[in-house]
Amino acid sequence: MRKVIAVVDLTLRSWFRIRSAVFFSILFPIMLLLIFSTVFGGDNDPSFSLFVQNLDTEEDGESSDMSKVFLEILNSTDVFNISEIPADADANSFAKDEIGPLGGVYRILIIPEGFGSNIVLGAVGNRISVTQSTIQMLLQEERSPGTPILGQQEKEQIAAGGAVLDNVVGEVALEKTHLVLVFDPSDTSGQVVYSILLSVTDSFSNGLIGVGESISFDRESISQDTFSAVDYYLPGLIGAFVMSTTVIGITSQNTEFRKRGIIKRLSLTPLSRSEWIIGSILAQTVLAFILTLMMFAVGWAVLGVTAVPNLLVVAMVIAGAIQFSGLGMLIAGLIKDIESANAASNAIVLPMMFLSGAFFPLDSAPEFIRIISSLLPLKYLIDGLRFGLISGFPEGAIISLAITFGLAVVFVIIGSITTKWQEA
Amino acid sequence: MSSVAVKVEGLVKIYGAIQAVNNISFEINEGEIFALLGPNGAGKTTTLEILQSLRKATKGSVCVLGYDVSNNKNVRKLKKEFGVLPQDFNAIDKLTVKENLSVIAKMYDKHVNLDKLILTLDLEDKANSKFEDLSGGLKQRLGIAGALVNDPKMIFLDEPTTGLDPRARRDVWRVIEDLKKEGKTIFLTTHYMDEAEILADRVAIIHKGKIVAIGETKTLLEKNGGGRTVILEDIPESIAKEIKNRFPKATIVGTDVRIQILKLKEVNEMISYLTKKGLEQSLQITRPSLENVFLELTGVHLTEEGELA
Repeated sequence: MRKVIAVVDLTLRSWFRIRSAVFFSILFPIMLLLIFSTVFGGDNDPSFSLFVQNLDTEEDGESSDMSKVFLEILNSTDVFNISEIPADADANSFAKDEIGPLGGVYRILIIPEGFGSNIVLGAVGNRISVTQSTIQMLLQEERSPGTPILGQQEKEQIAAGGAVLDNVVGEVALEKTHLVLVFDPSDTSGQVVYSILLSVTDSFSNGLIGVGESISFDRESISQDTFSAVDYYLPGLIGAFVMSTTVIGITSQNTEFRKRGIIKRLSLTPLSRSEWIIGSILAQTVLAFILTLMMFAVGWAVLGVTAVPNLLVVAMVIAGAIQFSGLGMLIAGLIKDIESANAASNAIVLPMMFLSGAFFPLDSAPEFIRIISSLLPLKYLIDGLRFGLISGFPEGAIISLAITFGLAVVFVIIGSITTKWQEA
Repeated sequence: MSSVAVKVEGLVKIYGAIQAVNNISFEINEGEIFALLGPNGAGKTTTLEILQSLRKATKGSVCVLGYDVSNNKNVRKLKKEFGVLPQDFNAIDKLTVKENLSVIAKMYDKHVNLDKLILTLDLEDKANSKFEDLSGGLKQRLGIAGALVNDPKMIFLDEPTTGLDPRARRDVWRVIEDLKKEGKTIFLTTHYMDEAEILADRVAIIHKGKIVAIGETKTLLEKNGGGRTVILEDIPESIAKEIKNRFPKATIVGTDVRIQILKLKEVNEMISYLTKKGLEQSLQITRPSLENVFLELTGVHLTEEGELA
């Protein structure tokens, strides 16, 4: 144990004296946390500018009541900053002439003529269809086998009423209403805006036929705690930088120490290979903890982070640090040259950060990206940290923890095999 | 009679198609400085690393301090009893002299007082300096201090003065001589003839993986030193060739001509010849050296850099 602690001591002492290592492993993640929380966090919900041209007007030129209601609902979402375009203006020209020079991207929602009446007729038709279906069910339903709910006379009267409804439905046949969204091809938020609009119009239609009681967006969480936006970024950032610190740390130490003969020198003392490996992994785990604590400390003190790590989170950080130390040993064992090994570790670490959903969710990513992500060890570390910290369902971390520990065992075994303690 | 610290018999080491060490045998007595002398690539470090159990021998037996190094259990015990200065020694750049020594010391159950060790190696002024800030000579002294941390019975020094300036070399030699006075057994590899000549009680000359001569330094010099050597410096090529024709034993090394002289009559003849040519001032006469021994045994010169010429 004394020798293992000596390895931890030498690793940490020399590591803390390398300014670039301290910067990129501890200060840089904290800077990134501050940037993320400033850019994406805070109390303000995102607001998208949206121009609306309402072509659905009454004879007196006033907007139809239904289109006014729709616009009020759009406004009530607090997601859009809405400005109206005159009904007689050409939307494309307006976008080019009025919005373009301001340097902003343009998004124009065009509400077509007949929007209100179509919606009303569609709603009436839908309600009649629902009533017809209900009547049919009533006519066929039995109180008990062989005992119908309705008598024969009642059935005939209701069927006659249903025939009248069939005639009415023919006259209010649903005609689909087409909204038009004119967008700027360079608008990086275009997809998000489109998705929100789809959601609002669905809620609007459902509300009209009585399926939904409200069309407002209520954000609800299964967690009892209230988290800020930065709480959601924290697990991803911790996971990503636990990985980069340990993989790059152990790769650069092992390759440099080997090239400079320091590993050879240590191997000529009673220090065994397993003690060196355990000490190196322990040192990286300590660094991972220091990084995690620093990020929480800054989060709590400066950014209003409310998430508190529990034992599962502690276990995830340990498992992650061991797993990625093993990966670092493997890289250093396979690639002898310092520069090549460092380049390889960066080439593994950076794509993994982005493909594992560390900085942004992958829910809307293409299927193949999500498949790749599910094969990456970092994904399970981040998933486990998210479950443990902010899901309100920390037990969900157990599967990720099991996978991460399993991979840790595999990586450490392979990494140990490639870590040579004796020359050929 | 002193007992044997190291016994090597029929040692062979083969890397693929290359036979790095070719059936060598030697013994090192307790308390002596034994030098393995030879050019770069002769098999010195390979031999040393097999003795340290860092490499496995292809064939042969190696016994160090009574332990057979092919047995892993023995190796663990053996490592507690020897100290090592590896070739091109490096320590951890960002740690100080004392911290680096402390790292090595913590690997042993028992170790010497580090402050005293630092004092012994004249490193007290640099005890708190980082390794990266030390000169080559100081780094090498720290390397020797590291080899002494566990108060070893035996010390392996692999090319201890390579790359050092003359003053730093002499400092390291002084430290090695002091270690001998303390009764330590020292196995030294070097390509410097003067180093082996000054420090070693016994020398083995290794060439192309084979030991071509072994014995007490004094005996080797008497037996194979070839008498005195006349060295003519900065000789024009045409005259060098003329000298070679007149004195077939002469060898040309760069712009120098070297001739081993056994008889006084030959020295007189040489002086008279050079005087005629107006080159008498370029003449030097040296006593027998290991350089001559090496030349005599291998037929080639060994340069300062350890290469064959």
